[in-house]
Amino acid sequence: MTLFMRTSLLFVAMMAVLAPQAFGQAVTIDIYGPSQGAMNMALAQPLGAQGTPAPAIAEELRKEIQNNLSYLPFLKLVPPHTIIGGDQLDGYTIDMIDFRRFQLVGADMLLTMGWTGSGAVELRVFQVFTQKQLVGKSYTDVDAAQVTTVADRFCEAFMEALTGYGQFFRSSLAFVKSTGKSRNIFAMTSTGRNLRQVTQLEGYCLSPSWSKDGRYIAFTFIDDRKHSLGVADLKTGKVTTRPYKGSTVISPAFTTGNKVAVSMSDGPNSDIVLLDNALKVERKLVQSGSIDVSPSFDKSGSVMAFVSDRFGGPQIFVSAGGGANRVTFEGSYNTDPSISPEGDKVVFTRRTPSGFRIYLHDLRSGQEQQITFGPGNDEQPDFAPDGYFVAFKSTRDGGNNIYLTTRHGAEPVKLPTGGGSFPAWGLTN
Amino acid sequence: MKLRLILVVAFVLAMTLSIGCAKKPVGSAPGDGQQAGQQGMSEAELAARNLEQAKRVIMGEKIYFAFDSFDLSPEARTILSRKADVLRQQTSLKVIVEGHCDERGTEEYNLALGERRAQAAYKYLATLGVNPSQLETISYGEERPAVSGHGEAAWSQNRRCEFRLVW
Repeated sequence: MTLFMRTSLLFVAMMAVLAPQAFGQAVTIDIYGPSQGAMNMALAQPLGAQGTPAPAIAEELRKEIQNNLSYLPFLKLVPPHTIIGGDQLDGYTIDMIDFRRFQLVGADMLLTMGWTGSGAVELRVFQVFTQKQLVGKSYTDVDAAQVTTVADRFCEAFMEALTGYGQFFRSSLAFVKSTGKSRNIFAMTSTGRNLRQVTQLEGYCLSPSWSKDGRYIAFTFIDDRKHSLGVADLKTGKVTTRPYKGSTVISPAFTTGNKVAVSMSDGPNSDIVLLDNALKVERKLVQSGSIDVSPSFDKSGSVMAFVSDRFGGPQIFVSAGGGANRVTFEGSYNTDPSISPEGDKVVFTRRTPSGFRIYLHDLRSGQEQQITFGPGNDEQPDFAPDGYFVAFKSTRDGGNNIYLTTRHGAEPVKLPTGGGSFPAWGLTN
Repeated sequence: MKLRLILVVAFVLAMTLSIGCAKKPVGSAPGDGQQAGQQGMSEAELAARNLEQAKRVIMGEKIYFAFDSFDLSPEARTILSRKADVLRQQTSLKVIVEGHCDERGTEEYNLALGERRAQAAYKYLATLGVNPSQLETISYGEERPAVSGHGEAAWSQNRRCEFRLVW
């Protein structure tokens, strides 16, 4: 419910682009490249209009923005006490800013916040060296209820200006948590807001998958008697479970047109079957006389990664319309594939002598790279809608928890889910 | 004709009454030694005893598997043939064959592997003459370990099929 309240709030907070000088031009660090470096960001103290102090809400907004930025592994915040001359500016417009003190402390970027009137705020990020504005936005009627929305929208604009991809701040994560003897589906935004329980079922809810339109979450439901396909409609709050003819319903995955691919068995072998948008069996996608599970689709729905043990142990395969190519040849146990939205990379779980680890396979070059390093077991990776972040489950701190890394294997950030497994991204805003 | 019909109805009634009437001895008096066996029991007692025995054979004995395998060991086959005997005799019994895995695999693949284990037991029971309509399979993957803990001692107990009577 709150998810949709948030969406409507988005329209309340009116946005305007503030004179974008050199919008996205002078940024040279490509966070998508393999040799990404860290950038230093300084946050200036919020200012009020004409030298007046900023309103009380300014500190809230600053905290939320700071929290959002803490999820960006290529960004380091400059500790305020290291800035000689301090983080208090004379004014928030470009002519009033003394950039030299930020240059001295090694900041690459400076974020300013100016409150122009009652509830109206201008947020800007400047590049310190060129003294040019990277992104600027203004928001009106900002009150306590909208602080997080404004923080998310601004950080989205900032990420977009910096990288061309802002989806992270419009994404949500579904995941599985234990509820007594059962396991149920939960969801929250990618930066840990609006944590809520989606299903209230007695049994095991596993393998959530978000529909591309953000409305539905499909999942496996296992009770005392059978497997079913569960679907939660986030718009109505309704949760349904539906059995099928065979005895298994494993690893459902939404693809385009609200169709669902799922592994089902009628006998010892599990085939990947496509269900239409009314969840009726449309056709078989993979049938090999072995175990075929864990389908994952790119955003066009035309490339699918999956697991098959047709050659003995479980290995990753990719199928792009007819036929299937084996992708993994190292290791005897490779599972849990998640294909990038562009369909050019696959992250997956590999069993290694020191436990399960996440690897990234580049489908164009064939190169493979380990992106998590334990300790414990790292499993169930899922590519975020921006193709940059990767969520995964790990036991590195004891029980099951969900962590965020990048496709380059940045130092993982533990997400505030209070435990959980089966992370699954959705583009919900 | 009429007489035959009456006789049949009377016979059916008598049968129904004798089944429905619990604890009424049909054989010799109780306490007449080790040989009492079936003679010393009412139909209901006999049915209850058979059910207890069936429960013990069906639900008591689990079968175990090697790592990442769904091959039936000789021990597993022996256990399954005992279950098959009971199920062939008591065709009203219905059994859910549960396939389970240890925690070492990944969860989705293990759900498929658990189904293979359940199917291996299902097929063997069917080969031994059990009516497939008496059998259902379900895979729990690694959701319901029999033993908690990490190490082969626990894992070997968790790679298994369990058998549950349902009505």
